Amino acid sequence: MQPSRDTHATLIDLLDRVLEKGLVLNADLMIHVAGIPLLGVSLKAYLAGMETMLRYGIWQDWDEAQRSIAAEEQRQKRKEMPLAPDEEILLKVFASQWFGKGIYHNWRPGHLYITDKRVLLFRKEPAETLFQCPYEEIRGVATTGKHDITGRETDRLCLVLRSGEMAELRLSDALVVKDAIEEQMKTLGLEPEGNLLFSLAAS
Amino acid sequence: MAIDIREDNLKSGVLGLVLALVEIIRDALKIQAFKRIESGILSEEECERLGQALMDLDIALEEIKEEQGIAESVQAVRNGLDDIVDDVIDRIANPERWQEETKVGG
Amino acid sequence: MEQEIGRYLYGVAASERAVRLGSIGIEGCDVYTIPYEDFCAIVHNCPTEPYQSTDEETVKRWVSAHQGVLDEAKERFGTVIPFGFDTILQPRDEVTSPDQVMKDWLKGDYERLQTIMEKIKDRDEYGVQIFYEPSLIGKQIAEQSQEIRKLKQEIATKSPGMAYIYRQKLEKAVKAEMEELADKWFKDFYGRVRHHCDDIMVEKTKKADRDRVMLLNTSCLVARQKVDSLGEELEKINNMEGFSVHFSGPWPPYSFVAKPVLPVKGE
Repeated sequence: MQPSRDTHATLIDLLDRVLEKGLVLNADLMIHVAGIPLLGVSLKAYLAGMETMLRYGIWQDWDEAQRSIAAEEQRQKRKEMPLAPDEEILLKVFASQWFGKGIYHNWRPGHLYITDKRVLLFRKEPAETLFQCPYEEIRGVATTGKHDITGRETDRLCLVLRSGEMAELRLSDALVVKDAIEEQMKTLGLEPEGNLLFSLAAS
Repeated sequence: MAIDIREDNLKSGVLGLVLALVEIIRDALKIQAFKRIESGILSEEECERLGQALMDLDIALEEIKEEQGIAESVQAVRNGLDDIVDDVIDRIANPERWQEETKVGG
Repeated sequence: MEQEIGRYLYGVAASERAVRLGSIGIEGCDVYTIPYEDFCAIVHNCPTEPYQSTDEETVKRWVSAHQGVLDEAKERFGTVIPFGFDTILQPRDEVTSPDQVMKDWLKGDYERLQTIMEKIKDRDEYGVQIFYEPSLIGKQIAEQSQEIRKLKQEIATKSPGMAYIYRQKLEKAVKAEMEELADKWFKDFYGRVRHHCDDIMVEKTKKADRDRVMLLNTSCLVARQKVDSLGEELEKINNMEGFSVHFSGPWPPYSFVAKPVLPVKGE
């Protein structure tokens, strides 16, 4: 394995050394700057992914740190999700999918996109397509209502697939989403099955 | 240095801070809750309700972070707080090392 | 010229020559050497103000220039003791020239400088950081542990709230196992790395990316002929599943030249 010096990551290694180490002159011989960081924290923060920023700054830099993190967040928000070039978004809502794998089971939040080709659940951070399904694979859509911890009424939306699998989602306005999905399926010449509620009543 | 304050990033900054603190409190809550569960004081039904409530809280926090797009902010705040705590503990455990540093002139 | 009575110190080299290295310093300043006996200080003339900036690009430039001067000096003189950024010698009074102040200091610290030169001769500093991936290792642990497999079976039979509680227990169990393993790995890796070093400093671990945890963060003083064997050792570790190594250098021995710190208990 060869050591390297010329990458972004190793610039941080250099900064750690040149800013905090090296031989030190006797205090009386040196120009002092007591207590205040000699160099702007923004560079190290930018390079180190911002999470070490607070180590190099002091409280007066907190605001600056938080605001630049927030600004970076805003830039990230505009990250595109994987849409086909001619794909059109018909409806976008916030939703969570029940997901179980190995030892981990949980609701995974994201944004649900009803497009002209498929149903897609996409999470921004870290960017990942949590679920997607073209209309041809959908047998039908069923909805039920429930209350969550905040007393907010969230609905359950269930996509029953032709493969026999089910994708369970929680969101608000399940009926609006159900209608949108069924509308689009009909536009594509597909027949969504109704009366799937009875099979959900037990869950 | 000019700081670019806009309503959206100011709000996100504060929201990130608030949620980081809520998460920390949630973690403390969990510790206490599990102590009680392990102690055998609670009934089967009470355990069930407690577990369900904690799970719902986890989910609600994840959803807020995703909806507001602030998951990274929150992580950054928590990491920053971790580092500050590290430093403070270090100062308490090794006062001589910190004295040496100030003598040399920072 | 009165404004330039500070002396920005880059390092001290094992050379008695008084030479100019060119305008390779910070902000293109002229770098030259001030010799005393068989050592010389590598400097540029500057105002008695430290270099401060909040602008990223500026700071990057300055730090690169600082390192560049040390690289050039190493090329020309061999062994160089590096200073940290912004080490500026201040004038003593109106009568003594800054160069004289420098020579007086070199004279005063001569023995210490000699000791350090001996220590770092023909050696370079390297950064070695070792990471592991908790998700991958967590999976392995979950698959291999009897206790955890039992827990998983129990979870399947529970109601949602209880299932959540059991899942938390399971995660805690996996985490605890991982921490125990981390201790073992640390000791193992540390020993293997140390074997190739003349000196080693354990640094604080830092926060890494989402799926990587920094297990070991060290600065190593390595003799030039041992760098390859260290590289081979690190290659082996890097090839282990779930582990990765960050190997940076060669650097001037920044971590190994400062005043000795109070000894850490237990190392």
